[in-house]
Amino acid sequence: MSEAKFLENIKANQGIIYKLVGLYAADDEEKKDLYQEVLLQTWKAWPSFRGDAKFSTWLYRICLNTILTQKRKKSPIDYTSELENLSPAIHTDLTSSSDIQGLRYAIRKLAETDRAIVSMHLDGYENAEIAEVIGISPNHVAVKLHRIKHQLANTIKQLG
Amino acid sequence: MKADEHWKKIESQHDDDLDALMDMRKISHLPSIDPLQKIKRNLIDNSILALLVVAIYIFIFIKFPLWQVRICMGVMIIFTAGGFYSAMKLFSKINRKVTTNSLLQELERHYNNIQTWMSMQQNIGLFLYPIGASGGFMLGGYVGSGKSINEFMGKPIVIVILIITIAILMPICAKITKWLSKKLFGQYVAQLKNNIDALKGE
Repeated sequence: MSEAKFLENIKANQGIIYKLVGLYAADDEEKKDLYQEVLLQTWKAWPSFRGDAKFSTWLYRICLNTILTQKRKKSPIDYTSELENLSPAIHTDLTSSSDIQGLRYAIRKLAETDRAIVSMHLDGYENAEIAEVIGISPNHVAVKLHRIKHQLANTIKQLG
Repeated sequence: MKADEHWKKIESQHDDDLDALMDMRKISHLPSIDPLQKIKRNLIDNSILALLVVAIYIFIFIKFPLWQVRICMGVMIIFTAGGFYSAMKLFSKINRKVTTNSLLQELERHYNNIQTWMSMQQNIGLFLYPIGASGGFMLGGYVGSGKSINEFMGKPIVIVILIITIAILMPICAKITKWLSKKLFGQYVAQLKNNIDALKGE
């Protein structure tokens, strides 16, 4: 498959990379490193993409596999400065930026693997699909999601 | 607005750093920061070094026809060749491409490869360096004293010194190698293990 097709698919789905890297990068430098590694690994894996799954699902899998297997710094979680430190170049819709920031902060407070599960859930994936990407049973996903939702609700409530 | 709607909104935002990479000329030439890539590079470096070292041992083996040195060099050649073979085996086993395995399989693949590399380094530290040191000790003594190796090694005190040297060097080399591997990948291995355990647990 061609480079042009690859770039077209990546550009159409770059929001996934942006969103997932934003959940794990400890600082701006690590964010750039992770962007590069995800793009490189996606390009290397591109010949194996046969189109039987949606490109977005395939990209999701590559992103999570790449990010979670990298040597990363311990991620500081500071609500007031988190987004400013992480991505000074982000253009945010100001009307709901605090809610979005709050949600991202709450997700970043979760354990690393829980962030992967909840991000897929929020993106509308079924438990069976999440289970396949993560490598655990659908029942296990359901149990984990139940606990994660509780944790998220508590954190968001604390933010008030 | 519900959480999933907020979440979808994040996707519509964009980042100049990511936008700047959306160019095939850049993507195909990006350097990799994958730890397995580092391990592969390290395995290549070690293997080249091992070949050079074996060449030196063979030279010493031929140049100094002394049975004591030849035994040490013979053992060193066998150990170094064994290390070279293990390094090549691990090298061919490590696939740097992030595959479309499940996340859990990918975490385990990385964890197992790093663990194999770390234990390989520790074995080298435990056996290779002390045996090399004893070979060097005998050779140095022989050349330095100007005596024959039989005369030099014939003194009981020299044998005692050699045994003490090996006994001290073995744990020190093993500890240093262990410390170095931990310093390089200790936190990373812990991070992988944490995530594997978190996925397997409730």
